[in-house]
Amino acid sequence: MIRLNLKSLVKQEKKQNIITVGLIGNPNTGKTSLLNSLTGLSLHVGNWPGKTVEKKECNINFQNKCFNIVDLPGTYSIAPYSEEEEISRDYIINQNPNVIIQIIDVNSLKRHLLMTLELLALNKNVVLAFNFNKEAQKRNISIDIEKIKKQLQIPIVKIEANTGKNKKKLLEQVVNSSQKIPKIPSYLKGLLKNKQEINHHKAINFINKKISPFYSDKEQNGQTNKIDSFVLNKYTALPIFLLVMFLMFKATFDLSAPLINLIDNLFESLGTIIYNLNLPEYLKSFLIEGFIGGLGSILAFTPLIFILFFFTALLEDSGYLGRTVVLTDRLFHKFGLSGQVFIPMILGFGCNVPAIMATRTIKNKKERHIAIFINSFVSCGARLPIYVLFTGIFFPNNSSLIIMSLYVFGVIIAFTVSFILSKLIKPEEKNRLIIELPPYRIPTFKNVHKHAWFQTSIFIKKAGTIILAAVIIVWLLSSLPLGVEYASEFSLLGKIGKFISIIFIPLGFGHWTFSIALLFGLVAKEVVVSTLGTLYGVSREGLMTIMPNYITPLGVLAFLFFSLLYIPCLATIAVIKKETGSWKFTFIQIITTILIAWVVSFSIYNIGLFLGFK
Amino acid sequence: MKTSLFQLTLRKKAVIKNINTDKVTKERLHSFGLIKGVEIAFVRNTPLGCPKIYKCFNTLIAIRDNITKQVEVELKND
Repeated sequence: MIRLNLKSLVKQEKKQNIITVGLIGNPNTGKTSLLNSLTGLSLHVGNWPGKTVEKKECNINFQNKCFNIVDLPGTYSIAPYSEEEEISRDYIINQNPNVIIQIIDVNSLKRHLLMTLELLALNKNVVLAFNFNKEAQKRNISIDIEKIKKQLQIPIVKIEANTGKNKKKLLEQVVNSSQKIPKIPSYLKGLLKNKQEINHHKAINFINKKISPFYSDKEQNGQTNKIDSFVLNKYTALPIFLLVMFLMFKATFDLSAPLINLIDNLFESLGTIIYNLNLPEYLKSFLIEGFIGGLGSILAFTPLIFILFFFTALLEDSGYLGRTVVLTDRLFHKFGLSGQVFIPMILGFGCNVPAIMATRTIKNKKERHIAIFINSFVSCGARLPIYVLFTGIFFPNNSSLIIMSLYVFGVIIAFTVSFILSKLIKPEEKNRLIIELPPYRIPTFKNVHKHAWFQTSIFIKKAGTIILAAVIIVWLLSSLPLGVEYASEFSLLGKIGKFISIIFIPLGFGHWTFSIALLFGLVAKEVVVSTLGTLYGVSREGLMTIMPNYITPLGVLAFLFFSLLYIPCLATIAVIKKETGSWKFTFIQIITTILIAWVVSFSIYNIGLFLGFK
Repeated sequence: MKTSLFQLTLRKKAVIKNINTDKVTKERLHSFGLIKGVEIAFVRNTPLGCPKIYKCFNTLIAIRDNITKQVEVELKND
């Protein structure tokens, strides 16, 4: 009995010392900056139960109290109309945090206060963190915080999230508020639509009447307006847009290339060291081709992902990302999507892995799923070596024309599939694009690089494990039965390749070497070329003389279109699983891409034959 | 004079009178501050003509034409 009591006492004591805090705010208010400055890098990342929306939380100590801070999705409202809004609402109602911090951009204070009133209607302890005060001062916006505090009857702390200014003050206020019993302010009763929801019309009247006298926003958006007159101008918008996209694409893939090479070399040397060790052959092979190969392919992606997220964070924090959506929206709307799909699509030309991760800026789940689905049809850089090799051998005079047609065809398929999918699964948001264009701001290096590190570490942890497992399985299939030459026609995978080669006969590339090459192309598409070399036992140059014995030019054309469209590589599959959270979705995508690739190649080969080509 | 937000001319202001969209779109517009009685201005066209950019509560918001056609406004004379 005594022990039980002691236990419950300790529990109670612990409970009193833990303060649970929900951090909420509109997008572009500096919520992530505030979270970063409060927590450093000690964030724990998971998913909300049963959802694919990321959940970030952390524990910090302050004044002998332990704060459990949960970052709620950035939304404009907590009315439960989207997955994000539902999550925020559920958390606030069911988890009942001691305090909710709402971060507010004072430059558009009145709009933000609508959400404040929504939160208060749920009868919670709310602390307002007013952000971007310096910017407001520059824009001649005047705010009488004391008066506003009095009107709203809730505590307000002025902060600068970027620099971490006043974060202690904010935490002190949270401690204070956590000790109070939440009470619905008396004025709110007249603004309610039902027990827990406010009437927006009444709420805005209240804000206009009670808050407007203490807040003036006469400024006409000086700086942002000037920049927009270039960025969104009929004549200059397109050149600026193309330049930004070009720089982002170049920077992402060029800056990462030497780092990727460095990592590749490092792993190669590691492989050589192991090769020279006195170990059994199969163990060596496992370590070199399986384990180090897998680890190498995960780490080789990290510079790419880091730099990509660095630039997307720059675009997002500067305010330009929203403009790219506006500029491309009309085009994408015709295919059932919105302008938010543009950037991921462009990045897909480099590599589908970071491109699929970049779909995270798309807030609507269904639209995001379509964007992920069609991304693998965008021809990535790793497919280029296949095109170059084959067109060089079979179509030396028309190689650039054929390569360009492949790229264009990939995009056409992507748009067609998205058009069909949007008709089938009806992303309810597709006609509802309403986005905020935040004021232009100079991004801080601290936030941008933290964001990039954070995303990279998630990639390594989540997608990395799937990639490693998949590479090891492929190694097993390529090395079994025992004693077989690695990745030869006698290995299990080779046998599978031989077996399935039958389905490629109507496509014009029925020789077993091609189906095995396509199977190994799963590891990474550029492997198709080296596999063919291994299978024929010749170098890259040797392929040129030997290959015409096994395939006709028309068969090559069908093979190229098949390589463009069939299953994305293992790393892409891993990222699709990670980003959608669904194996079902991933498998449907794998099957669909094979079907589309087969039908397209079949048509090309047979129409070609019919027209008299060989 | 009553008209739709879509027909508002560039750099003109109006007051929102009615939102005739479906419920979810209406809620979404509300959360951006587009509520009956609120002032809104058409501040910028975009190169492809849609969406257009409006200003409401000191925030720039891009909205597609199919939605602005369903928002009734009354022109403001100034």
